[in-house]
Amino acid sequence: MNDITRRDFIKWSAMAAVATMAGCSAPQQSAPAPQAQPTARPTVEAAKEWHKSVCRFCGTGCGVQLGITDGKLVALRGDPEHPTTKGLVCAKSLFLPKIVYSPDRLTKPQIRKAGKLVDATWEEAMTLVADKFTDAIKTSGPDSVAYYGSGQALAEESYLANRLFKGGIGTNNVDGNPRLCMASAVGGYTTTYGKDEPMGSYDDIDHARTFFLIGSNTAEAHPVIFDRILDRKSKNPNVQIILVDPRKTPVRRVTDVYLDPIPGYDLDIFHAMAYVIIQEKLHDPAFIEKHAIFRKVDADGKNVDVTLDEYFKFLEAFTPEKAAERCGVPATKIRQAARMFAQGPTMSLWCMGLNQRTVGVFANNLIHNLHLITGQFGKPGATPFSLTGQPNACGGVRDTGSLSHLLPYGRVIANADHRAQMEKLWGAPAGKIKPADGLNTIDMFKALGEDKIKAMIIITTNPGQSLPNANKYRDAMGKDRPNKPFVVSVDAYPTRTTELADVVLPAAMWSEKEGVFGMSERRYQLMPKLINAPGEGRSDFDILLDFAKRLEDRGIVEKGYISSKFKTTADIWLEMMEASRNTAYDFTGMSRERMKKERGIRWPVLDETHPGTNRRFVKGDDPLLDKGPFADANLKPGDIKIYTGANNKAIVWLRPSKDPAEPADKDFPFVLSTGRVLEHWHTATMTMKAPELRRAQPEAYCEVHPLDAEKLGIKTGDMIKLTSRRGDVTVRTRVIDTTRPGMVFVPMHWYEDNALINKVTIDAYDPASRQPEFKVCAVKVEKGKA
Amino acid sequence: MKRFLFLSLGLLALLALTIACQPTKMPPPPTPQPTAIAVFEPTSSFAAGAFPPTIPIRQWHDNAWLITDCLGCHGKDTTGEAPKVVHKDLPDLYLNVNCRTCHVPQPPDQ
Ligand code: SF4
Repeated sequence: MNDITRRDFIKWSAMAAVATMAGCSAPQQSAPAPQAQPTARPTVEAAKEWHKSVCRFCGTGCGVQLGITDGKLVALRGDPEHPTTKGLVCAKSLFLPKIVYSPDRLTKPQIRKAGKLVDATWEEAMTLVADKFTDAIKTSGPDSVAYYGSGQALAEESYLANRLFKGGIGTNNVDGNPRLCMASAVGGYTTTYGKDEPMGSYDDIDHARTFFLIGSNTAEAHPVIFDRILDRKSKNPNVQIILVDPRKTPVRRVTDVYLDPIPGYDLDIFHAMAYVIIQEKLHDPAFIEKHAIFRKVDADGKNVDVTLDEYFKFLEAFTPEKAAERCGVPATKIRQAARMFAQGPTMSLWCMGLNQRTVGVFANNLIHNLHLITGQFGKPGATPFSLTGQPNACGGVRDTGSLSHLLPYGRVIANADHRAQMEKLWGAPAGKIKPADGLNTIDMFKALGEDKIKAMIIITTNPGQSLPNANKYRDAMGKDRPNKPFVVSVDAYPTRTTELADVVLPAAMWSEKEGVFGMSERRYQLMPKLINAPGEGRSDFDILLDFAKRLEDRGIVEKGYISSKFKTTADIWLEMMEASRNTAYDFTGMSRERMKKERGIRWPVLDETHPGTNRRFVKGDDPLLDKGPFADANLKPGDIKIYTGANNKAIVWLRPSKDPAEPADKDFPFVLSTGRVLEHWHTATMTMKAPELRRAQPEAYCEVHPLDAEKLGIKTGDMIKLTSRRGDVTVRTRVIDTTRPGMVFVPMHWYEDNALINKVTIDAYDPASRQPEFKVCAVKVEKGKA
Repeated sequence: MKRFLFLSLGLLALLALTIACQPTKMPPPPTPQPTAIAVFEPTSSFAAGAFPPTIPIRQWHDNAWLITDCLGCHGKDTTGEAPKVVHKDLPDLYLNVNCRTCHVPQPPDQ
């Protein structure tokens, strides 16, 4: 902690870190004064014991304390002892106690019979699941089955599923919803630095002078991060915020320079900023010389290294004036942003606006380019930092390698040594892990629709609502047809996916099971089991163990491959630590005992006494520069070595600017972008369960610019119909100048047929990351019927 | 070609907007109904009987959050009927733009 003290935060969090009580429909009063401890009196009295835990919504990973009385969760408050979120939480988290006890929780397994889901025993349901997978594998091979996971599953659950499918069954058809949100960030980090995950941390917020926010509505999607940025700015008048976003989100109200590109055309801005930086000699030649190389892909698709001069020549096609023509942002603003960026220390933070694009990886590369040419890297407050939308997309899916092209802890399917390492550790026969990548999310669901995938298990996620071009993939999952593939959905609530499944298994959620969540800043946090799941609900981990044992019994998976090794998530954690040994992710110093005591630890961490790593690649901070395969005794404290990079260097990529997959045109003249509201989360299966959150944002809406509204003869409150080449929705209008003229915005949370916006969005994806372009598609807009 | 069509439409519209509306003026909020008025207990930071503290007149506040400065109406030196903020230690910047982190909007009839 630097200019912000823990005491300050505790004081302020007296307001923000209020506690809420389960089932308390009668409102309560809070502590009398802000200086008091961050607790609400009635709640403290109601709770007999308090336990540290973590919020289960966004990747901010806020520390919470849970009040338990007689085995029931009665209260939640922010945890003032938490090192990064310091007692702050947002409204979503406050209502978790109510959400957990929602009366519509799934409590019994269900099997579809004659078109209807009917209650079944676990034995009946699991026998059917195992038989269907066995049939598919025996008749059509291992690649006829698939696992679709989630950044909300525990890290141990994702690791177990990955181990079972890739090393046990022998298919790489393992993917998950982080493909929809973070895959381009992964692609950006790996192509630039050699390995995934941010090198900086939330601590950098307390040191940055310039915040460069790109495609991130931080105020609503990551409210506690936004609190910390506001705190930094309110105490330091020199702190400046640059925002790149075609929509004027609440973040806009605190920005110093606001760039609002035509949706899909921001790459030109980033190149133009790089042009200004080099032209005005604001770059850092010494940093570049030591830590960066320049690379382009030639006409034959080969990587070719180039010089700084050649890079600058390339950038001449992107002067601010030329960029302005394409992206619609005045050249003066681009220049201003470039100068602010170069001044530093600069922290870039970005989210779905950059990732959910057909040029998502390129866009990520260009942000890294700016940091590398200016040397805004590896110093306090200077870092490129990708925000994540789920509590465990990083630690759970990215790090455990639970995507179709990855293996645990920085390994990739395409590398024979990596496959051999994991086969050895897992005790799988040599060659069991196939050398070709499995199917990514969109291709997996396409294959399901073409009946090539014969059996699929979906865990802790809701693709029936969250996939783009949803009609098509809803049909793939649920449309009745001869030899329809068999779909299993494991969830805590009824969703738009469970309604399509052949078997629905009731899941324990959040505090009903023990395991690890890994949030945006490489911090792994242990979430304890404090309460029981309702009815017959079981954790995803237990369901996967049961499933694995049945596949072993049927001869599909080698006997004992899973069942002889693991009974609990703590058992598998030991293997996960071992899998990380001597990799760039090494967390062998993160024992379960230690995690029970501490409030999360940031990897790399090689022994039990190391406090965790604030800044990777920096001598004196990153323990991997002291010990192990990346150690370098010649470095002085503060020296940087990008040990995962190409010859220890990062790559500044010369990337072309490309149009979005579906720009506006004559027939579909508006651009649709989707996003979030603060009070709901993703497909809102949880947040709609709290009456307070539901009534705060009860109904889907579409933001329409006043000029467009006038032309269309539409006013606030009117129903409006949005139609794309894939589907339509009809929602209520809000006339407001948050969007550019020609652009409309609809939040993504609502699940009713008339409002399910992913029926409209496009499933075109980035060829590098396979992440779909949720943020840009063409629609026509007309007055709708109520 | 398609892009240029969109670009030029966008630029024309933007120009018109720059001249015509800078930025959208919020109409004054409707007079709060008695049920929606936050009444503060003398010793409390929060509205009496309101936990978590709620924001009334939902529709107006939805847009207000995006466009106007919350302290313009809720600052302690302002006049008018809006309840005044009582967060003694929160920096103004928080109070201007981030109220909804904790305060949940509530329709007037609830
Ligand atoms: S949703 Fe995100 S910001 Fe809000 S409390 Fe949970 S982790 Fe923190």
